[in-house]
Amino acid sequence: MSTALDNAWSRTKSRSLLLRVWRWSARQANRQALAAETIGSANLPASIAARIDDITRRTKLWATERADIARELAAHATDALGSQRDANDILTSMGDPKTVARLMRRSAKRKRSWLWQLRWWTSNAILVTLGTMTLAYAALFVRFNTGAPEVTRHFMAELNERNAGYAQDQHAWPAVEALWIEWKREDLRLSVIDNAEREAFILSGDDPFEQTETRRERALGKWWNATPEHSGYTEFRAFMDRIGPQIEAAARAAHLPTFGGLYSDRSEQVNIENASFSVTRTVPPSTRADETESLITVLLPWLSHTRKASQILLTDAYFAAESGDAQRAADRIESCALFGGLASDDGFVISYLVGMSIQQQSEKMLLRILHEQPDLFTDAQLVRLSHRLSSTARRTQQIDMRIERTMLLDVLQRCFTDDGHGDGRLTAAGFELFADEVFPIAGPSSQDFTLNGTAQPTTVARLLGPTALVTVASRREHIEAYDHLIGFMEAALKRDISPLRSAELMAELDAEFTEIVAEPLRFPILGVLMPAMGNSVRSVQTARAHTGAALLTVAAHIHHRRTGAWPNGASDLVPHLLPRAPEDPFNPGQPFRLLVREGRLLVYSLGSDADDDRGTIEPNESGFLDTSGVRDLSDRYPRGGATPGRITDGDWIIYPPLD
Amino acid sequence: MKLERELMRGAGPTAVLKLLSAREMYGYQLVEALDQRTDGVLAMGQSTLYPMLYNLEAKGLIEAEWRQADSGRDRKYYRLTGKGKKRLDADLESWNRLAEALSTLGVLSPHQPNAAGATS
Repeated sequence: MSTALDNAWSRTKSRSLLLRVWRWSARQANRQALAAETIGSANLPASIAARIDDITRRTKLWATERADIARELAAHATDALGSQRDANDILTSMGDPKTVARLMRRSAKRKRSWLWQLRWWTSNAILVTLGTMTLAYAALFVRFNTGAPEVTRHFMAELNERNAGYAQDQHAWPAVEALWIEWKREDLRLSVIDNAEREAFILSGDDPFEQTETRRERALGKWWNATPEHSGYTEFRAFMDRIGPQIEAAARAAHLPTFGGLYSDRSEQVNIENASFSVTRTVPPSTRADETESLITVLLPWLSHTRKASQILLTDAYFAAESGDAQRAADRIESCALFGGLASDDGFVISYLVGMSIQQQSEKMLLRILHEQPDLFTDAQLVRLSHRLSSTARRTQQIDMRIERTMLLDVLQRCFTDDGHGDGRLTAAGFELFADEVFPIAGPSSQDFTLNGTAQPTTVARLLGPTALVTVASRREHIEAYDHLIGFMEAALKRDISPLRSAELMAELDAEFTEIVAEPLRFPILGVLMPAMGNSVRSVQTARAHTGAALLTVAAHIHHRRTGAWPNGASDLVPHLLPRAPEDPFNPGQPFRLLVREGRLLVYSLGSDADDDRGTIEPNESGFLDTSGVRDLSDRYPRGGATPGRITDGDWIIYPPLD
Repeated sequence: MKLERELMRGAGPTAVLKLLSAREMYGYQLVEALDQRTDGVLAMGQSTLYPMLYNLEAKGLIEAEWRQADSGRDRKYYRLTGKGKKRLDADLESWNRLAEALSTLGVLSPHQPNAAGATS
């Protein structure tokens, strides 16, 4: 029994971690004991014994190594003493204890096993690496946390200065808003269902909400099809008559030099008299330095309202044409085109896209009226409309990226230091804004880049952020990369690239974007702020093609009136009616095709198959004719990079409008 | 002084290897031999000798063994290994070529036995 207990105790002693640590500590404390014992047994003079003890102690080697050295030095001293050498000579030959101990330590360690050598070098390499990294990180930490961004430019205020020179009565925005309010009032009136109606719907098994939508659509949602055959026609015309003064005011306002909208990221809801809804109006931006609004958060409420106002104007143009009021119809189309120009004047990419859309709607209404009433407009009215559409096209279709660039500069000034020469490094405040993109493990940002002033970095951002100094490009590099990409986009827009080359263009764009896409840690800010260039290019191409085809159609009508015959081709109209023949985007270098069928004009593009099908449109899968016109050109453009666009048979008809 | 130390650093190991090529020796014997056979030119103390011996041992050029001498005292004997023999041959050739070169330049007289003497 006692043997078993003894064995268990022995096993415990040998395996216990605490005991093992204790034994190791004891060995370390007594490492010199073995050497001292060896020296003592040599019976040397005290001075020599003390020197050997001193040397071996200083070597800091393992106990056995010390003992071996002590034994050898003692043997050496004993031999020397045996040869009648003086003790002082022997001490002198031993050299400086500190130096000789160091030399012996080095050389003795070289004798150790290769496994020990490997471990020693490895641990030393790790220590050196960690030390270097710690020092480097400390330097980065100091550099990172000692820089602070400074908002020196209030871009929002600078933008508002553009309107400072215009008096209030030169602002178009109030008239647009007034018209939108009337539309909203009617929209809500139609949407309201009283209890009796609701019960009736339920009893009849109809969904009240669905019925509401049906009613709204009947009256307001399908203005484009507001023909006398339409069920809501009478009700809708009555509504349009009711808001005639507001329509007239908006049409006049379109000729004003500016929307006059207040650029700000702050807004208020203003209740409308005798209405159950409110309108969103921007309020002056803050003047406090620490609240300078980020331009990226700017509100542009007039864009959506202007789009709606433009639809109302064009519908009024159609009703005017029905009534034979050519002047009013022409005025409304012209005003609508001018709204497109005003929208684009904001200078944001979204503003251009809205402007192009409004311009295209104006052109489509002109073509529709021309088709249904070829003789309504006078030549003078058509020429004026053509000139107006040409001039507004220049405003809407020539995208200027300067405002977009200021957005980047605004964000950069909130993220980077400023060395006064356009360069700077990322700061903790900037890191806080873009932590999600720059350093995902830092967790979500406590603030996003839509803040005012600058961000307050969290402790996590301060601790983890310094590494971003290594990866994130500098302030200047961000600007240079942005300018490079924007320069490419502007060049692409100026080149007027055919959709047939779109795949090639997209490949070029992809290549240009690669640096940003492949290096999100280097240019995290560009990845967020870069406008959708591919979409912008496609929109401009589509808009230009449509404008060209519309002007060609108008010129062909004037030609027909003057000569009694339709032109054989676009060349018949140049230069007396057109400065140059608008180019078919699918037939580079060649104009849109003109064809006369049953006495009526047909204006068409060869379509994506670049093959002249003599004005035959492509049957779609259901067997019906595909009504794709240039309006749908953007759908045919390649998306998602260099994937070729869908090639379809048949031509694409621009005139007569098919929808 | 620096020159002497540098020369010693180059010549010392070769001298030790050469002594050990004749027979195995312990530390004190090596010190004595270097001192007496070179007229003190290559004399070295323990502080130089033992680290040198440990280095040569670490490189596998010599090997050591504790043994009892005839006097009855324990001594650590060093002897040349096969690798040490090859290294010594290579070193001797290098030193001879160096001596020839220095002789050609007139730095050494043709009859002078070794280069180390030139520094004394």
